[in-house]
Amino acid sequence: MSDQDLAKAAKRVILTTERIIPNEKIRQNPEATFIPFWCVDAVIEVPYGSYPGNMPYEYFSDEEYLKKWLNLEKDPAEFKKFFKKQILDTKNFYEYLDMNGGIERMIKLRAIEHLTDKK
Amino acid sequence: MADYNPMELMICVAARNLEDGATVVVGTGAPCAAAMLAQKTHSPNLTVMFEAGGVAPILPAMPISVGDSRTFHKAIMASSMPEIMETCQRGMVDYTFLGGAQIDMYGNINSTMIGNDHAKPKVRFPGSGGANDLASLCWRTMMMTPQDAKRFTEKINFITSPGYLTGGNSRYEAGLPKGTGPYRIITNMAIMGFEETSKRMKVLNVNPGYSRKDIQDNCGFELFWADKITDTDPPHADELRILRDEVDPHRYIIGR
Repeated sequence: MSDQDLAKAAKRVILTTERIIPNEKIRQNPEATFIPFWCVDAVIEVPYGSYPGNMPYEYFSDEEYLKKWLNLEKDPAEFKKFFKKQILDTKNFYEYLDMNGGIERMIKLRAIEHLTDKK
Repeated sequence: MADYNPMELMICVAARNLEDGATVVVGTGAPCAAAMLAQKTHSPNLTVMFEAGGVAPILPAMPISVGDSRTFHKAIMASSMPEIMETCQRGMVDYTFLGGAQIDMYGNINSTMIGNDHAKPKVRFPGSGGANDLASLCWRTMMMTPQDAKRFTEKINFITSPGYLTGGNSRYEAGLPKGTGPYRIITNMAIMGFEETSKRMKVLNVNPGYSRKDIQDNCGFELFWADKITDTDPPHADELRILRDEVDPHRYIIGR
């Protein structure tokens, strides 16, 4: 997308990542780096952090969940309830993830991303 | 009875307009289906690009969004939105497809809002997205759309994507690249192009099952007509087979 441009244009960048890797690995593949450290203010390791969105090469978007979300948005009162329960009242990201199928769901989305889902 | 539906007809017609070796920026949905169909029929070397950065993917399945990982599956490049738009600006992209809620006789498209007050629209759509850039910079813009007199209207509420603006040379006088502009409007009833000097919308082909009267009655402005109007060549059996079995087997786009 336009992540590298957004990162360079932003005053503050908070980066979440599937996994933090050794600096040595970055140095083995310098051509793969798009966002240099001076653009980044904070880094947080959040596995599955793109859920319910798509993380290329890791897991696909949760289309069933997103469809439900979009339908709920048609009714502002219902959506408010949904948003409070799912986002505002959850302790952290993992409680949110568990509420929506947790690791079992992620394995399924990983299979869809890797085109290994035989359904 | 026809053994295809209007969406299948529009996709087949759109695909035929994408010649081998051309480049096209598509969104998801019908335009992507048309590009995939063209690749699997007469245009194996069609370069498909997505506005979020995917270039020439080997599409394993219909992408759901313009940025999902399908759009750069086995691609030659996973680039970025600025990279794609700059490629359009350099004049490297032949075709694009746009959609919209309203279109006028000069091919200006509204995908932003319905209403008279921009600050308080009656309906707000997700446009522009990348639509304005693509309509401004690709050589030929096409549209696939159902046709009715509300959608094809004399005065659109907002110009999201410039067509030929007020006709004649106005698009180029406004600074857009000379030779670019709307090319084909493919509806359930007809296929339109644009008259060379006035840049008014002009009917070229009539789809099976529709009359000239149907087409004019379902358009809010006066259409021009080509000197020689021919019937649209309906979808061929092999096009339909590939569209149904390979391009959209779950019938997400062509419907059930």
